[in-house]
This record gives sequence, C-alpha cells and structure tokens, in this order.
Amino acid sequence: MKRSLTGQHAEEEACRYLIDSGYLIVKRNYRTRWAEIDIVVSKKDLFVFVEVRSRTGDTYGLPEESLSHQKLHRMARAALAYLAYNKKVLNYRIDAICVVFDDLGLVQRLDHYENVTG
Amino acid sequence: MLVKVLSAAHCGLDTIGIVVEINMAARGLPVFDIVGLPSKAVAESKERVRTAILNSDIEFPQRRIIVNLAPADLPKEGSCYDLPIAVGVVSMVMNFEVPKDSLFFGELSLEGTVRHTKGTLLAALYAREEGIKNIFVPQDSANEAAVVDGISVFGVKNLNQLLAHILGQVLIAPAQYKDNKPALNHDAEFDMSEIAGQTQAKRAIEIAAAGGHNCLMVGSPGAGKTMLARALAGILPMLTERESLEVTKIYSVAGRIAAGGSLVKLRPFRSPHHTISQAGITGGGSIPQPGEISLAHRGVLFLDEFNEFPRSVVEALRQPMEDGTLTISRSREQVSYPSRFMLVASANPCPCGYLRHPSRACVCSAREVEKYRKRISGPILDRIDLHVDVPVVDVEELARNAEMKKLQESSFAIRERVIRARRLQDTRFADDTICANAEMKNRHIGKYCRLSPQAKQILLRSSSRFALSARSYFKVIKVARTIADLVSEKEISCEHIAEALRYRPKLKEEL
Repeated sequence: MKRSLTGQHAEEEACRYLIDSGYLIVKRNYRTRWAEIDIVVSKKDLFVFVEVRSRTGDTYGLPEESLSHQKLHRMARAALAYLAYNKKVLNYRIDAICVVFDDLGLVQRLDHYENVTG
Repeated sequence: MLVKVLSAAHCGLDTIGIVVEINMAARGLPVFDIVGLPSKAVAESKERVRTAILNSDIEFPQRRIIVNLAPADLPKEGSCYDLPIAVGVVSMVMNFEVPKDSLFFGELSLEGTVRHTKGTLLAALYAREEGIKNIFVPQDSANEAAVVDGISVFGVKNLNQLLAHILGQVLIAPAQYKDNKPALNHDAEFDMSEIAGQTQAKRAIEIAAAGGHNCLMVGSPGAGKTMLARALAGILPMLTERESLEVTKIYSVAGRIAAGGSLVKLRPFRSPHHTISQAGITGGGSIPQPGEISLAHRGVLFLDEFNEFPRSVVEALRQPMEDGTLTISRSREQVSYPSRFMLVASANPCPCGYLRHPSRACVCSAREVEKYRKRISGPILDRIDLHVDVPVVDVEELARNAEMKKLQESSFAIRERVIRARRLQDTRFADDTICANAEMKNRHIGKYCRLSPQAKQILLRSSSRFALSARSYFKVIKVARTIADLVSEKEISCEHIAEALRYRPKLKEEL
C-alpha cells in the first residue's frame, strides 16, 4: 500500500470504529492555517478531537511512539483553534487512535486512547 | 500496578536511600517518564533502560509507565538508577516480586550489560547501615562493594543473568573481596639514592613523610626540588585500613576507581599544574565534585612552582589545611569532603631563580624579588611546618655520586624508618580521630609531647627571639615530635627541638 494511502485508510477505519462506539462524526480533516484535526466527533454534549496515527508492520516503530510531547501540544492548540471558531462547544477531550496494518493492508490492531493530553 | 525498588544516591560522601517507584497504568497513551528531579543523565536513563530490556529479549510493555525517584525534592544525578528501573519494569512484564531486602545499583548499556558505576562503595556502606541484606551491583564494581562485610554483594554481568538469579534459575555467587595485586611500592620515578647531596632536604622530606608535615622547598632551577618531591612518593608508607576506606570513598564518588578495582592502598600523590582553577583545587560544580585537595586526602598535594599558582587558589588552601575538611556550598546542595593532605610545595627564590646562587648572578631587582615573594601570603607560609633550602648541586659532586651510588641511602631504607615512625603514631592516636603528628591539636600536644626541661628552655627562648606565632610555636613542637619518633624516643629532647627550629623560615632572608 502506498504511504499516503495508509493514513487515509487508517482514518476510514477510525471513523468506522468511532461510529460503532456511538460517536457522531462532526467534521473530518479540519484545517486552519495553524492547525489540523483528523476527526471531530461528539457524543451528547462532549466533543472529542481525534488524532489518527498508523503504521504498516513494526519496522518503523509503533504508531504510539510517533506521538511526541510536541505533537500532543500541537493537538491541544488545534483543539483551542477549533473552539475559537465554534463557540457552542463546552466540554471537550483529545483522543488518539493508533492503527497498525499488516502487510496485506488489513487492520492488525486498533487502539483508542482517551484524553491523551490530560 | 506499582512496584518499589530500593536504590541509593550519594550527596557528597553521604548516602541517601532512594525508592524507585514504578507505576504501570492500565489505561492511557503509552509513555515512559521519569519524575523526581532527574538530571540529564537520569532522564536519559529511560532510553537505556528501554533498549537494554528489548536487547535482552524481553518485551517492553506498551503502557503508561511513570517512574518516581523518591524523595522527589532531592536532585538525582548519575546513571546508577538504570538497573533498579529496569528490574522494576521487567518485574511487571514477567510477573515476579522484586526482593524487598535488596538494593540495586548500576548503569545499563544498550545491549543489556551492566557497566562499572561510580559510587558503588557508598551504596554498599549504606546497605549495611540500613540492614539491607543483598546488594546488586555491576560485576566490574563488585570488588569495590565487597569491601563491606555483613552484606551479600552480587556482581551482575547483564540483565538476563540478574533475572535468572531473582527467578531462582541460575544463582549468582556472592562476590568475595579480592585484594588487588599488592602494589608494595609507588612506582616512584626517582629513588632517593639517585639524588646527589641534598642531605638536608632529604632529611626534611623524610620528616615530612613520617609526620605528614607540610613542606616548602626553595631553590634555584635544576637544583632537584621536583625530583625530591617525586622521590617523596616512594618513601611514603601504605595507607592504614582506616585511611584507606576514607580515601576509597572519595575516589569512588569521583569515579576514579577502575573497573575491578577496590580499596585504594597507596597514598595519593597529586601534582596539579599551576593553571588549575579554584574549583579545580577545592572541588566544586553545581553538584560539587571533590577537588585536588580532597583527592590528595591522606596523601601528598605537590604544588610545583608554588609562586606561579593564582593567589586565590593558594589562599583557598588555608582553611582546609587547618581543618582537614572542606565544605562546598552551592545553591543546590552543600557537601563536605575530607581534605587532610600534606602540602609539598617548591618555589624559586626569585623570578630569575638565581638569587644566592654560588656562581650565577641574579638579575632581579629587589622590588621584583619582594613582589615575587609576596605572591605567597604570610598565613600560608605560617602553616608550612618545614621550610627547606635546596642548594645547587656541584656537577663534580654529581659525577662522584654516580660512582658512590651505593653509599646513598635508598628509598627503601628511608621508608622503613618512616613506617616505624608512623606505627608509633598509629598506636599513639589509636583512640583519637587523628592519624599523624601534623594533625595534632593543642590538647593532643599537651597529652603526647613531653619536652625535656632543656628543650622547653630552648623553645621558649627562641620563640621570643624569632617572634614565632602561636601556631608556629606548636608547629615546632609537632615537628620535634616526629623527629623524636624517627629515633623512637618518648621524650622530646633539645636536639629534636633544635632541629625542628631549623626548618622555620629564616626571618631576614626568606620573608
């Protein structure tokens, strides 16, 4: 699978997982000049900003390891940017979903980490 | 899941117990963080631990792992926490209990082997003090820790070996103290027999070595001052057991004990260059490290070209010379290091070096000479017990000496006398905290230095005539005590006092 496709594929898988878990997709690939958020979902009055990380195999390390402190910090800032444009959000959380594919492009595991910046 | 592993940190020469708490959270993004004021080396420990565990073919848990080094307010330095952290993490992966009565100490390499770590001796001493039965240290440092009896010291080669031991599969045999090859002699560069003439200087060096007295040699270039000082290393006795432990502690903290090494037996001989900084001589740094004076503890600090040392460096010697310890205060911590050294200094009489030279004219003006002399302050000179002139040796005599080499006393013979004198002092000070005559305080002098009536008279008369300071007065008695010890006499007679007086600076010429 091409590298650029892996990410998109992972986001599809993440969305399917979130819908199955009872979340409502609000926005995908939210972008401003300063920030980007992979998926915004909601459940009742709670908004969740989700960062999706993926890898094929384990040759290049785990997707979890790619979430540096810096990236977490950027995610928190992106969430604030979203809030600035969407005043109705009261309660929010930042999550990460890590997806690992095998060589055939099938999902090997999908892990959902809640409140990663907390 | 929470695991606690015992370890130790040292703050100067004091050791503090550290509890390494490792928590593995069931939920949360996988991170591996160390808290509890880790320094750079400690914070980087997580990379070593992770890689060492992986390279030991053990799975590293993808969980939220927080390591706390308690007490949290004490700054942690060094790499000795690698082993306890790794043991704690692996215990959670492999589900075994970390033994409660054990202390872990050591640095890991990336391949999972345990590397020689500084400060191991102090950790072992702490374990004995606290009644911790077992201590796991790097194999290369095991001999250092094995000096401490009453505890089981386990030298660990690598992580897998340690796990096999804890799981009871293959036990590690406790390390036994191995005496390093008995280095009988300082490999002194010069033997006393190689030094021509200089009878008086040699005698002074012998007295200095016997009583641990400070000594200043003044002489023209090439007269043999440096040679004498180097030869001094060869006539010093070995460290006693008590001294050896003190010195080894300092060297262990400074990381100067080689892998597989153990007790320091030889008296240290330190000769720093005169470009040394103040922190270099006294010790320092934000985490204070021992300086040259502490590394010379119970040994010799040789300052060649004494006048060339910066004034601040020389003046810094004053207080440690009197007290035998030096407290270094920095904003983060305050530590004391022992510094009971014997100062041996050499200097030229003037900038050109040929003042009072029998055949060569001195080209210095009186002012230059005075300025040169003033670089060393009175208080420092007052603290020096033996002032010796090292006259120029006749080249003819040198040639003659080469033929009569056998007639000169060898370092070996002199050392025998020195050892005998030291042994007298050891028995004398068995109940005191001091080890040598030079360390005597006034109360010791009252107790141990009995002067014959004539000796007392000579001393009183000369002290008023030469305007001896109170300190100089007692220094003369101490030196006389050593001279008497060299001939194994109980009472200090007038010859001993007279000889001791000879080593005071000559008033008009010297100062």
